[in-house]
Amino acid sequence: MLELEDVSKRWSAAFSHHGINLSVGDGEFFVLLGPSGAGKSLLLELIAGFHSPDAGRIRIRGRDVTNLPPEKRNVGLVFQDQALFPHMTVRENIAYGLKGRVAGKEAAAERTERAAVMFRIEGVLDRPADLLSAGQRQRVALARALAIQPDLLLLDEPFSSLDPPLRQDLWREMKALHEKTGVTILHVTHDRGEAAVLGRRVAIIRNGRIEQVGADWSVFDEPVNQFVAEFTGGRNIYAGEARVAGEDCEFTSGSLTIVCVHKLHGPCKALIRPENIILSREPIHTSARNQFHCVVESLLSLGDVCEVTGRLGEHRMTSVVTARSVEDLEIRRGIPLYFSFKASSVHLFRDTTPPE
Amino acid sequence: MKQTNLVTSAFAVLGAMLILFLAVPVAAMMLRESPGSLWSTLAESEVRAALWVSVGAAAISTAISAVLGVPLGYLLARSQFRGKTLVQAVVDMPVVVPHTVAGIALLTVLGPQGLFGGPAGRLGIRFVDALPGTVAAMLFVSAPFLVNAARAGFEAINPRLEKVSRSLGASPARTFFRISLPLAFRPIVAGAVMSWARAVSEFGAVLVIAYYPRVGPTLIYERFTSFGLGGSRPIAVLLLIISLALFIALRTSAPGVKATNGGVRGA
Repeated sequence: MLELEDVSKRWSAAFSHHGINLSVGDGEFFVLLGPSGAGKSLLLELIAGFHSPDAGRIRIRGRDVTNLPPEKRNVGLVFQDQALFPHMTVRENIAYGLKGRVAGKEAAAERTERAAVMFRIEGVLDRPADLLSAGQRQRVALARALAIQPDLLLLDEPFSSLDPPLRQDLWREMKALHEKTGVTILHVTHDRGEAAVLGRRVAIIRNGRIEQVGADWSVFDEPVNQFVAEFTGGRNIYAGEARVAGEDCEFTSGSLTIVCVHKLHGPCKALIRPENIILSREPIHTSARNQFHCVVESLLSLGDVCEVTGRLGEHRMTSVVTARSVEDLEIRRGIPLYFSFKASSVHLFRDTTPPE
Repeated sequence: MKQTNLVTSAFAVLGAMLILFLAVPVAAMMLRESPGSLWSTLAESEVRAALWVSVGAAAISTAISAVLGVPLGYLLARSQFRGKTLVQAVVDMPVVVPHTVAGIALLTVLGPQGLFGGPAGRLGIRFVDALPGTVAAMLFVSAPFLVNAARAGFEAINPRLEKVSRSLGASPARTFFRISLPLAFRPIVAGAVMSWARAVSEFGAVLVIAYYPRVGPTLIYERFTSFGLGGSRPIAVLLLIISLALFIALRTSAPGVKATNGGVRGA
């Protein structure tokens, strides 16, 4: 559907895109995740056609669009600030892209109404675009981009400026909409929660380079390097050495020895996601083969969940549990707790993070 | 009650002195003339002709500024090109060039032996002591106001509006006429009004290149040197009234879209 082949572009002395390869399948909801300044938006601008790459090809639906102007690419675009045309009504905004695309005024009017109904904004069609609520503005922007029936919909942090409850509403709507229309979506965000909710496949971008591409779970659970591990919220990362021993692999970092299923040999790092660590007052007998007796050092309440950090020799280990478990287990600072996790919850990786 | 502090009070006093200095002479001049003397002055065909030339030539000059200056303003706002700083400096230059110097510079190229004046003369277009010369002088001194207003107007538009327009299938031309120009219309009109006002008030450059047909300021100067203050003041007041009336009318009734946050960057 969308293919980027070795796309490079030098934007300034300080920032370039280096040999970007990316492939988004037909009807896929693909998320490009990265910190601010990683080059996410500029990459979208290359795909939308506002700049030409120095090298490489961009293909949409098999058609080479590398040198086509934006108006010939049939790509929908939604920005964080919505960019509604303030001197037009909602109806005029949505119908703007239909000129020359839909034959006849009636067909265009019908298409506009349909797009408005899909986003539940049919009640404000004749309102000036600058007199809408934040949620309505975002829906108009989406309706306007989808009305042209684009081959590809590019979303540049579309929900970042919205308040959390509204943002979550729009996530749900976006998912439903994607399932209904089957439009191919490339969604840019710096919010890993948003990426986890929306994306089927995720690419992590940093400093103009794609660090990792894969299914959402694989990027979050099996990062290829320290940057991806940290950026996707990894907390328990230990540097040490792994040794394959028979069926298993043993990872050692100072006084800490962890049994893992994942096999690697030599110096590497180990990652255990906090949500995969179970806390208990007494040793538990389960399939969890790693169990450590730690003293609780700190508790950080994050609303419904709580981060519990224990101290084990020179290492710290963090688990995320529900606020309810904190009460049930009477977790307080200074008490000893068992931190348990399965051998299969440990991910080993070589730290290939290139320097900034 | 609103609190005032010493600094605010001091600034208000200083500012008031300047405002009085600007407003009192104009008011005093206008109060010295009776409606009767203005009416009889307006009855003179020479006066009416000069006022017409002032207003009309300034309008032509503003129209030329708009046709040539709005595109330039857009380029300065949106494009990066080599020599942009130099182009911007040339746009701003007329503001600092003394008016008589501007007239002499124009006469050098628009005179009968000049770079443009020569070929134009063979086509039957004369600048010296003719309306084209008046318009040229006005254009030279007033164009910067329009170009800079258009530039600021375009710069204030969120560039993403233009990007979205292109992505929706609009060509660069359609994007300009449907999005950029309507959104920058108010500042451009304001710039055109400033440009027109500046053209009407021009004397030095016009005097050097085209004494005839006389514009308002030329006639005022002529009457002043021959008949003194009393002989020139009625025309001065007439020119002022016409200028202020047109200025206020255009500034308050400028059509077009309201500047709204949606169109402004960083909204």
